[in-house]
Amino acid sequence: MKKIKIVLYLLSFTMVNMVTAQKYFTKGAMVSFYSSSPLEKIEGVTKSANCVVDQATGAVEMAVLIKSLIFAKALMQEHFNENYMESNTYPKATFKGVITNIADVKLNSIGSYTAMLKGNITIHGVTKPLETSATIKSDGIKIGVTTEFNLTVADYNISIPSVVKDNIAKVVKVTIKADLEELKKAQ
Amino acid sequence: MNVSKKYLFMGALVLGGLCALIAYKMYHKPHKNIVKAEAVAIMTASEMLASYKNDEVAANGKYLDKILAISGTIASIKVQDNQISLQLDTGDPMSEIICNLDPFTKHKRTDFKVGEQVKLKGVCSGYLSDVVMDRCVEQPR
Repeated sequence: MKKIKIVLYLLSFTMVNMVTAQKYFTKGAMVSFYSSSPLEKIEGVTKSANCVVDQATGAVEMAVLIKSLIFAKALMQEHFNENYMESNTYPKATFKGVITNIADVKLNSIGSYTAMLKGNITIHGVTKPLETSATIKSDGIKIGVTTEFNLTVADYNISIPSVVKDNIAKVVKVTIKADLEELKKAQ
Repeated sequence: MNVSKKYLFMGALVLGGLCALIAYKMYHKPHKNIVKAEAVAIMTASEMLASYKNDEVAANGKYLDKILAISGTIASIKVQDNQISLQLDTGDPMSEIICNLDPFTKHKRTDFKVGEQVKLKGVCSGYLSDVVMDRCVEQPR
């Protein structure tokens, strides 16, 4: 009898784990690219990026369609796509990594957490390691992720012609804001 | 200043002004007028998803950055900081055609309803879990 109780007790734990081991997902993440130089400010924004966070492993994946970034000026968007990102050849930018302190980030309980992110980012066909932190706010059901980091343009094999070198920042700021919902399996 | 020098100076001034005007126009050239632009292909939401699921690279070759007209049923509507996004049903529960309405166009209407049949014209941005269409405008059906 005692054995059965212990087994049931342990089983209840695994059940709880199964319930809490959720994945959170969105296909409407906001990603913006911002270049600020003394001559001009250039910003492109998309609200159609994918992001998935797994509570069990802390795995984070993100994917952005380069062409979905919209710029205020048509010329900027054209140059961004054709000359720098070559988005016909490299239509996506991706991030794959983990929240290294996932044990402290409880996505299904109300609170605000600082998540330490570590992984690889691929832009323009070049993969580089990336470490940053993100703020994750949970209301118990949904999570809101915000982060900001800088990228050095030259790291990604993107060369800026000297004619416009004063118009484009060497380091650009990337901002991400995403509201993720629990991904329900077997709908 | 003699007369010929004066004309030369004025000519240079006009030329300089013209160059500046052209540069200014180029710099501020507007986004492509999506309402007037012709769609290179017309298809249903499920046909579009099928061609992306079948071969993403080939589909990108045909559709990426191209103006397409897509018809389908609105599965859901999402509004995020002034951006209206209509998600068209493809028959696949995991993938939709996400159509982001054009921020540069004054739309005839934005009161779309879930379940409504629509035809949208926009620019294809590619495929993640869904196919994304940007700069969409409604087309008469």
